[in-house]
Amino acid sequence: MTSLLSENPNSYLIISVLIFSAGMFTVLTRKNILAIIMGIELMLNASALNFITFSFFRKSTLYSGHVFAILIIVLAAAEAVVALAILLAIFQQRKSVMTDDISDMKG
Amino acid sequence: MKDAIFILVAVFAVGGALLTAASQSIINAALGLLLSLISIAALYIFQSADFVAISQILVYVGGVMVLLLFSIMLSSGSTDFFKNNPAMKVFPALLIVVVFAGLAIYALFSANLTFYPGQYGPSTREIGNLFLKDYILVFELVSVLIVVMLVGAGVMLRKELVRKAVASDGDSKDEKENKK
Repeated sequence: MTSLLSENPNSYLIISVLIFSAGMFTVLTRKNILAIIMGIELMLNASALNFITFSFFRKSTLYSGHVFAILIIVLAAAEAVVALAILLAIFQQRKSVMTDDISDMKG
Repeated sequence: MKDAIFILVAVFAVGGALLTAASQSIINAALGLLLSLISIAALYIFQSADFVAISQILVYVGGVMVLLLFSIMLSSGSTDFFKNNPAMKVFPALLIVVVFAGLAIYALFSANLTFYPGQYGPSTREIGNLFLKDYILVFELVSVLIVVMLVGAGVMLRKELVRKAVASDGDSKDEKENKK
């Protein structure tokens, strides 16, 4: 293992943990649906970074990791589109994007 | 030199994420997310994942961020953007997050993973081969998913549907008031 930080897998994995934690904190504490979507995007990105790191630091690069990272990017884009469409439909109805204003399904 | 750039990019990636988590203005949070996404693309380039880095820039920075900013502008009538979640105060959330991060880093250093120095090289050919051989089913399913997503987003924002929902919502409110 070289002494360069950029060639040490642990530095990438720790960055990924920190970004995932920031995303988790955002999802847990925010009430605004847009902010929750941003937190989910951060968590998805952190996991994609993990896939790339584990595929790169091997004897020969395992490209399945790249495939999974691309799938994560595509699925995150699809999820963001649907979530924002739902959000705009809700906003047109009730002029609010806060999670505690949308409690119709509460028993 | 390489390490200096790496540290700069790492600080931008984590700092952008922290800005998203801590900022009180939603535009600042979105810009922090943007910074974090671009820096993560740079981290992909450090690991020789050129194709993934370009897809990240095209799809996330060019697509998802624009959508997100549009939604922020369109829903700006809703005030008090960053009121905190009443079910989860800042301190317990911080506790959960710190415990999670501590456990993950502890697991990383106690797992005794063997890593090798990575090899740099082009990746597009191998990704294309994998998508059309090993992952062909996943590839087709993703195409179906994207069609469903497009149709679903279109249907959800149809004018008549929204109006009907608004009308029925008004009715149910009237009924509640009548009961009272």
